[in-house]
Amino acid sequence: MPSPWQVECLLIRMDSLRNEILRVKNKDRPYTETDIVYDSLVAVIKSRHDMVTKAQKLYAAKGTLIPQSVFNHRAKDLETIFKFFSYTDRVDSPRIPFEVLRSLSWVANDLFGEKCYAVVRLEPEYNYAILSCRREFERNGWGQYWQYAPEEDTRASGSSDRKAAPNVLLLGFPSPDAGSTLVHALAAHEFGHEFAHKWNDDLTEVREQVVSEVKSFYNTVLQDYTSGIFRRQEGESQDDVSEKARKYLLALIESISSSWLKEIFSDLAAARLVGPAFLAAFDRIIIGHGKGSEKYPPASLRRSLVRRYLEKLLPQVISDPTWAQLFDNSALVDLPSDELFRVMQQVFDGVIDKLIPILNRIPSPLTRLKANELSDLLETMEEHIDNLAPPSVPLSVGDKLPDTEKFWLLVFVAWHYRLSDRFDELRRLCGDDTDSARAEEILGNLLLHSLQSLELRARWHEAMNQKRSNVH
Amino acid sequence: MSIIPTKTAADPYAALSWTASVVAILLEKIGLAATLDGARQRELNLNLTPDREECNALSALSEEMSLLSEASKLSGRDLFMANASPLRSELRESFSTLVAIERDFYPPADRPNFEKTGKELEVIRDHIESGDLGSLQPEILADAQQACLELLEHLDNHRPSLSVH
Repeated sequence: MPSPWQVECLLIRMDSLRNEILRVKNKDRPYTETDIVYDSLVAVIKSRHDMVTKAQKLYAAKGTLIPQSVFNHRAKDLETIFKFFSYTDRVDSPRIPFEVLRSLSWVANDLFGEKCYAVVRLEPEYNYAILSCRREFERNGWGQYWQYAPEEDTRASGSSDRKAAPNVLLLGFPSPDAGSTLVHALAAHEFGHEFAHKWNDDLTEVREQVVSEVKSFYNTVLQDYTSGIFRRQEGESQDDVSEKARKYLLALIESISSSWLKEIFSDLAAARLVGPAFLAAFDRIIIGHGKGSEKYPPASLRRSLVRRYLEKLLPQVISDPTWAQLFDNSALVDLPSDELFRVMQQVFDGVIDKLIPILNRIPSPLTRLKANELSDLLETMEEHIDNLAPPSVPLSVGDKLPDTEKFWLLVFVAWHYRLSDRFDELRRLCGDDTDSARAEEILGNLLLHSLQSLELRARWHEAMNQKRSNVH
Repeated sequence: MSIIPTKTAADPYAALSWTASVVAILLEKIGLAATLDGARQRELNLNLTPDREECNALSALSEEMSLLSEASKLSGRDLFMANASPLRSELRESFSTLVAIERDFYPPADRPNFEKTGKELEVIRDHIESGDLGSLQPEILADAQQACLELLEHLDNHRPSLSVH
């Protein structure tokens, strides 16, 4: 059992962490979107602090100490809260491209039909990630604490009614790519995870089919696999061990199927939004991380599924030779050494058709335009880039393509330009035809300018329409 | 989620461990209420009336125990039969929790009796709802308390994991 001193140490650490969160919240920052996260974390700490104090008093009244396991779990809670806080304590680096955040929030609000804030942090690992803070709170069992601090809430709404707390999407960017707007194509994959969460019931049905198919390999391949999972312990019969191993295998199949399905669904969702540009940005991040794991399918499987999906969805786009280099991945084929992974890979290879009805609910700017319209628009927008003009200029707001979908169209065009011969000209224009990074930065700036311009024009257009309808 | 694997903060058992902790403390409260008279409670400034969060946690843990019990009765052999139905969605998470906990149990006779604990928690809840904690059998309280702490120990010490080895 923990000594009173250990309990006091735990309580002091809770206080210190709460004070640090409040310090970060109250310091001068360029934006306050993360306030909701700080307020909610403080509320979680308070609940843990209250529990330990209450338990200390109760057990002392009985003349005993807090049970070790209760104490350990609160210490673990504190670690988790601290880790969560570490995601949001440095979201104010001047290197973060703040300009894109409003546009990303605008697109997210439209896609998910709820108020979302987009915030960027610099990732310590070379990775691009998104964390739906509210969902992460729910996963940790803290869902009830996702709210503004009561005093802020009252002040903001002018009444004692609590206003609905918006979600915060925390986008992690690899530090060296902080300025790379092109890599934001990966936001399409990360938004795919939000769709996967929204349509969880439909994906569960697909997962059940996948699990059932994997299980059908049990008698031929996987029965032997179970024999190596557990060693027999004293007092256990061979039947007990086999039974335990079979249950373990099923739990593992369920877990892998669930994770892989969400990743693959998100990849295909991204392909709907930005076409092959998703793979271009994916390749930028995935180097050296393609083997696959319990949580992630092998990169070769992901590429192959995206390609096949695009062949079905956008045959006219994928036949464009500019994208061909993305599909030449013969050197990157991963052959899993694990029997279970081999079976999973085989089953998931046929998953596209099961996902298509769900994916069709996601808007796709690339399918909304006819092939010749898309190709003409692409040409015009690329000419603008050639002349260092933002490619958003030829896009009119309020036409048949919804404005938020133009966000993804711009990302698609920017990547097409990056992979085409035209980019060589841009490199030469920079004065150093070997410096791709510099030319990419220019291309990224044009893209960024376009995304901002599009969002501002769309909001203005919307406001004007609202004004007109009020007059009439 | 991220494009490549990364360390995340989520503890898959955080919610269950919180619920079990709240219940363990509630049961401690009930035990104290039975042993300390009103004057002593006031002297120690103790409020031993179950609050709403504790009652909700008691119901939630009782349901979880029933699901763990149901999951523990499933036969691994049957689950791999060609005509086996998929696990019900509410049972799936509990099945994973059970498998993770059971990895460390041998012999099987030492496994926790989730069904018994679930029923005991239900009895305690009924006594709270009827305002009749005085007639609650102390053995039921002691058994349920022990089971909660054991569950917390397993969730903590063994840090259940389904990672591929």
